[in-house]
Amino acid sequence: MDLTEHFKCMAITTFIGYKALLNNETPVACIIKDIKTNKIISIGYNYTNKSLNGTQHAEFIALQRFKNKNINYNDLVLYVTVEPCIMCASYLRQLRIRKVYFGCGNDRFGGNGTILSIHSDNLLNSTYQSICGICRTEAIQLLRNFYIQENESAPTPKLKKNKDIESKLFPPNQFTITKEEFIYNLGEERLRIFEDGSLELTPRLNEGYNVKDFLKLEELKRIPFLEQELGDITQQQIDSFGSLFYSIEGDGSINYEMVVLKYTT
Amino acid sequence: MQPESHVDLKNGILYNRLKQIKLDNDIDSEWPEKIPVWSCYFDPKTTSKFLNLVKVFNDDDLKHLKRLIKIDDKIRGLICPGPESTKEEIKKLFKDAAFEYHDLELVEVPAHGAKSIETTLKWASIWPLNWKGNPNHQMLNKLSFDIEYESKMVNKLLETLQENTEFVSVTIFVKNNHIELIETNKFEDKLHPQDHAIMKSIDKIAKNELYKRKNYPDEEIGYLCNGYHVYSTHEPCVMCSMALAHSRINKFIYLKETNSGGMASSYYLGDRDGLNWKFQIWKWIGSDEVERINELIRVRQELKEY
Repeated sequence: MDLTEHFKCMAITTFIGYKALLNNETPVACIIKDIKTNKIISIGYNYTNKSLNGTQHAEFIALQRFKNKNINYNDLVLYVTVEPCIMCASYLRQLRIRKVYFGCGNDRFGGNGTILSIHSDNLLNSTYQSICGICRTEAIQLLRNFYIQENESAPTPKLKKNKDIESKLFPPNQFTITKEEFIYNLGEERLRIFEDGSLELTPRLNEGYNVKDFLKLEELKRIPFLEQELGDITQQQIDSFGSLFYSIEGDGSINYEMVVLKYTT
Repeated sequence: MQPESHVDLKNGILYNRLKQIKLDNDIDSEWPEKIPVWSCYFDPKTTSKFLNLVKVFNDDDLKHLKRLIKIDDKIRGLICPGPESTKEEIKKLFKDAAFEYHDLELVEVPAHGAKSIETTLKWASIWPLNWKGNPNHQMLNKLSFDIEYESKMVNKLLETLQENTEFVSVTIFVKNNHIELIETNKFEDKLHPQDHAIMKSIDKIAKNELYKRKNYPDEEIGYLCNGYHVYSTHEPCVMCSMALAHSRINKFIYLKETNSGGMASSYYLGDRDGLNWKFQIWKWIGSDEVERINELIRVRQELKEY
């Protein structure tokens, strides 16, 4: 099974998260794809700092654009860098979104399987599938780049957390989907990744990747709302973005030999 | 413990009218969850030096534990939670201060305190715990509400609901005993989730704050909905319950449960450890108001069917 299209979508989404970081927001982002046209029709990014509204998560920003429009949410697929929180998971379900793909789990308030399974519980009728693990390490590393910043600027810094994120290992890759869901959505040939815990998904089996391989300046410039809302995109930004992340090897292992940089303002 | 007269500790009821909505009961599990914490041994004479050194660490997760235990002629002390710092960081801290110690290692200790003295003693076989009484009973005894004011707000919900037979739910946001917002929902087939009364209220409060900061920069700055008490005819859905937690409210009072509710009906959002925020949840059980809302709901049900 070729997952290139999903990785491309998630690479773009991760870049939007980086743009949010440049705008002093938590780097969590999403895109909405219409499956009928295969086009990205909306983007979202954490907007809680600027709006002073703690509910303005990426998913809300992306979907509230359609609030008074006639739209069939069952045609929409969401890609989001971090697992939707409990609130967003319920929001997506009430709207009856078709499907969700996310990068890393949210171990504080994940609502798609990590803390609660709001996407599939029996409180409401319609459920949605939520597939994890696409560009997982990139989503985590982007968040780490945000949190070290916050800690370093705290007024009375306590000795806290390991700030040495260039050499920090990633937590085990535990899938929040069932084996059957994994096989159906990510391919039986990748089951080793499902079972191993230390390997990452790659777009094509036995081929490595780096998240920046999927980004092209011209394509990014055409993403709706992106430049208007988060500022112009330059090749230099794409390069700086790329320098933050490890490559993933063909066998799914993380290339820790690589030198990655820390984000600085 | 001598309970205050308005407190029913066993049932978590205050003034016979407010029932505490709480995820866990007062029964401890057999054994606690455990967390890894860095510890080391040192000479009792250097205890104050040790306590001074470890002040740089965040000890929020260790408050339920005895920080020091005596083992033979040594003291074994807890330094900080495992993920907080690496062994090398601690070694460096001690070395720089010329603090003598041995056996710097991770020890597995109870992640939280116990709810009874019996369990506290039992769990001490893992690591000794502090006991200051049942934490929930202590909290309930310390609470004092202006019950007349709470009653007034609940009746305000009912009055507003009664104003219009199209209204199906009402929510009131209060800060410093001042009604900031009253939002209602009418019956609609396809109510957009962001039009739920709670989401509308949170959005308005944020917009007010933005406006205030821009035009009246000298006024006190508000942080999300922190400091707010929220009153609602109904238990909110999962999305709205979590939105209240994200918005850092302090107290929520409702009258009726709902099938897809996110509090007493399912996940007790607002009262879960581990989420980013907790707030008090109370169900109003005063019989006059309960009868009145049941009647108002019955009327609306009949109209809907008609």
